[in-house]
Amino acid sequence: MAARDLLIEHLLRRIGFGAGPGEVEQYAELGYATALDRLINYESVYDGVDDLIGKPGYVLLTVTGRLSPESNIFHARQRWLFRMVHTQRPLQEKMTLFWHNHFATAYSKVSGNTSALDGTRAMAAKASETPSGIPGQIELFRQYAVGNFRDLLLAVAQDPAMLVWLDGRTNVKAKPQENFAREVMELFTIGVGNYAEADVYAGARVFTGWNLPRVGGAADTGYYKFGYDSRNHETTAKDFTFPIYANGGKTIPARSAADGMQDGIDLIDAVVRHPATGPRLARKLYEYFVNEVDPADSTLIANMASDYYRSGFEIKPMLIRLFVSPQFTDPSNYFKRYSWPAEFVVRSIKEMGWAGFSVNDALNPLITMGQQLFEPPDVSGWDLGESWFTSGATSRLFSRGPRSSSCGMPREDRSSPPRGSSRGRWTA
Amino acid sequence: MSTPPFPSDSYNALIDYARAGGAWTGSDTQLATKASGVAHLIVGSGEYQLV
Repeated sequence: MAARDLLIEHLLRRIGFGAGPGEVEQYAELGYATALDRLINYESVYDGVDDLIGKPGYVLLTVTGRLSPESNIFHARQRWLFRMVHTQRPLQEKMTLFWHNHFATAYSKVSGNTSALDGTRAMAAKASETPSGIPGQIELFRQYAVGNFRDLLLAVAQDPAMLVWLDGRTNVKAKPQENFAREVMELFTIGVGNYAEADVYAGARVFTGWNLPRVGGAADTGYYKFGYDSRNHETTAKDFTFPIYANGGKTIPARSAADGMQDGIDLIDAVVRHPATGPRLARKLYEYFVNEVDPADSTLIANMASDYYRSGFEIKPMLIRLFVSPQFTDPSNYFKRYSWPAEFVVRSIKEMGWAGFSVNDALNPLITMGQQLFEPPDVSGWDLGESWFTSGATSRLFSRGPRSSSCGMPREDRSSPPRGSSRGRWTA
Repeated sequence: MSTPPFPSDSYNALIDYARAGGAWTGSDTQLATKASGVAHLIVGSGEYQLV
């Protein structure tokens, strides 16, 4: 295979989920620069992938009755896998998956504290599919996939699923709840070592009153919606160990309860602007798209971080810098990432064919492999890298599910794969 | 479908699998019988987990 095609294959594995029939040739024909431009600036590419569900020639979904991804989490999982397989905007889905891990939120807690209907809406519904017009969290990630990180973080702070997941809905002045404030610093932005416990408590007080009232009582037409409750806001000044304001000020001043929502916006602006956040995001993106085995090049990380600050916290300039870097195109960085199970499943479907195959048959194997969509194990997301590389994990997809003769091993051959492979996987 | 290079023992095991039951001639019958199995083995390999 020509080196050009190998580079395009690499691009499609990283920026997307591998290549379906004819896609390598299609993008190779464009040339690397044009292909990259189309993949990154996907806003001009028609986003009609959901309209293809159920049409001939595409991977199947398995549902009883009407497809209801806005109210049935199993349907929502299938819809997302369908999108990953067939989207013409692979970077958008890839970044949606990235943010799903970064802002790890689990359906089980969200639904357990509300209802299956409210939980699914909060996680996965499109805005047009809900009575409130509020998009589910995954749609938020899709909307801001390569967008502005400050806007994304502010939206996440007001996201119904997050307000349940990290208990913001119970954060009131009489009993400040620390979970969101802690994770907004530790996991979402500046990272461990850049804040103190006192900042967590101050942050909790900042977000008092950022709650989640229910609008309407009926199960199907009622909904949860972020609301700032001034009666529950703690109005005294909050001191931090790091700068909150551009002038170096570390104290959010006392404000009236009516104006108190500004406290949270000030803190979000501060952590987004903090000098640790840009490099931390850059490093995570490098590991996700380039190489998670070897240390990242410090100059590239610094340049990506500089793009982040200079652009006003935009993600896309960081990604452009990354994808045109010599580190990304260097063949020594090919195959230097461990597939996340969702990536593995989708790539397998795209590369091996989907005739007769339903993404429903991939749901249980994804659980076995350790990555159930909408169900990260905890606030820090999934264990990445080599921890995915567990014995027998990958082969289970095809030993359980595929009905396609192009995907699965023929019945007559199932007892005779070669033995003694390097990692024992072929003996399964 | 590209993968990182397979170790020689794995590569030879794949060859042995293709040849099991008779010398490899590339006939339509052999392709129909073996191709999906080979693909299964490649996708199930450790190498295919790397992207």
